[in-house]
Amino acid sequence: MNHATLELARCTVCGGTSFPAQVPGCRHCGAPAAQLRAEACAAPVHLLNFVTVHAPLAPGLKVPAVIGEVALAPGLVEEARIDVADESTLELGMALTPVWQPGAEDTAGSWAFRPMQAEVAA
Amino acid sequence: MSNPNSLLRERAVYVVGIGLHPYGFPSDTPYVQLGLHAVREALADAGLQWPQVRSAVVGTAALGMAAGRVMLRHLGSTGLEVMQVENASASGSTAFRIACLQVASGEHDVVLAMGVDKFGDGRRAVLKDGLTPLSPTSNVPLVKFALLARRCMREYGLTRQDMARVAVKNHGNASRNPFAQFRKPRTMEQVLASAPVAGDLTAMQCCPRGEGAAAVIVVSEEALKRLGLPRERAVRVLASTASSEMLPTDDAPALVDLVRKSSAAALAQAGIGARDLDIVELHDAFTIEELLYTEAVGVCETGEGAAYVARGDADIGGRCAINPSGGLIGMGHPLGPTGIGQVAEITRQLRGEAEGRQHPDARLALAHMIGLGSVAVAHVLARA
Repeated sequence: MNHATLELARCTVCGGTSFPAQVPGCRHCGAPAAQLRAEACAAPVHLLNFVTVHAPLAPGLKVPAVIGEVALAPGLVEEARIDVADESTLELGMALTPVWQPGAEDTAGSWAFRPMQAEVAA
Repeated sequence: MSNPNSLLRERAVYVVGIGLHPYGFPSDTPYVQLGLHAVREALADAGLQWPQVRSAVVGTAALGMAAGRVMLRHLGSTGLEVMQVENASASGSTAFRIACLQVASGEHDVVLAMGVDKFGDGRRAVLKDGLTPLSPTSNVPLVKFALLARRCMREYGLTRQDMARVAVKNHGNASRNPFAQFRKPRTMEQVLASAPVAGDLTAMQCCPRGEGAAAVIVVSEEALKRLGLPRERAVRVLASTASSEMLPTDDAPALVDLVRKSSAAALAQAGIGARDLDIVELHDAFTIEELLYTEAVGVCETGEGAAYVARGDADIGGRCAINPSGGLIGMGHPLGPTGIGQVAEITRQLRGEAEGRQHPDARLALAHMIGLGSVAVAHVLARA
């Protein structure tokens, strides 16, 4: 995975999008990976929904954590970690930008999303 | 979706025996003991002997390879066909479907469908697909449903109380079910004050982790007569359908659309309408699911699910009892047994043998199950 850029897969057969870019087939038409091309996710993405997770429901998830739904492309909605202290700072539809966060020592890094203004301030 | 003119319409299949090991929290009891308890109870309930069973379909999601024969050999090595089925939460429902189709096809005339599970390590194939999800919660159903609940609150005015009311009902039903994992009635205040888990869902609005076993025996019309089994205690399987999620084509969540289509296919196959149902057992792993699926099945109009529960229409004794067993929230969700447990509960209700929680004059019922992925398996059953 290219950590400098958040990428999705664009199907050259049907034009549909899938995530992540390494998918072995198009989720819309089933075209094989050879007919998919990686494409940068166009920032900003917009926040569609969000909740605070209070219980450690997944390995590596530090709680409380804010999890949202973001539209990576039209019709391609994914759950994503929202990098804010608490959900009270969020508004539906607000612009977010993906930020790669390296993992500590032996752990893998991951993508999180920050409100655009916060990203500028950071 | 399945053809409405299915084998089950042409060749009658009946549930004649049911058995359960009570669902419970993880224990040191080996799965073999859990499973054998349920099978022996089902055989006794049917009045059958083990050598009369010609095939066994075992649903399990967490035990690993070859759980069936290792367990069933302790009943005697009769040479029957043994098959293990894994289909996530719908493993038991899928085992039941295969058993019904084996009988309906004429392959076997007396078949055991059972589910058994111990709480496992939680490893799922989706974690081995070689793809890195965007969020560590991407494959955690609880977060998916917390997000869906939040969306419904925002768009349809659903309240936290609306969702909590489902938990109050189902914990109440479970308190009257001797096979349930939770046996205490809960108040609205208790449900809302329980530990927050994700979004607006609290711990008492979520199904527990657990273990257990459930078994049912299905037979053909010919076997019912040949073995002299009492027809008045037999429950006919009118429909069996299975399907999987499609990409959403409109604003409806894909999973709700799956429930709508799969239950409609089962009802069409049975030749009845949703409003004919007296009982529905469905996948209420989280309270929001029961509200949305009750609407999707068609028991009430879209947007009416919360009012349906609030009016008592979903109660035992209401218009259509939803999850009289206590559902996944109250009775428990040990995975493999869950779908079989739904059929056992419905059979008990249709026979009029659900002591302490009997829905009056129950004649038609739907068992509907969802599995991670998502898949759906639905059955319609009727008093014979």
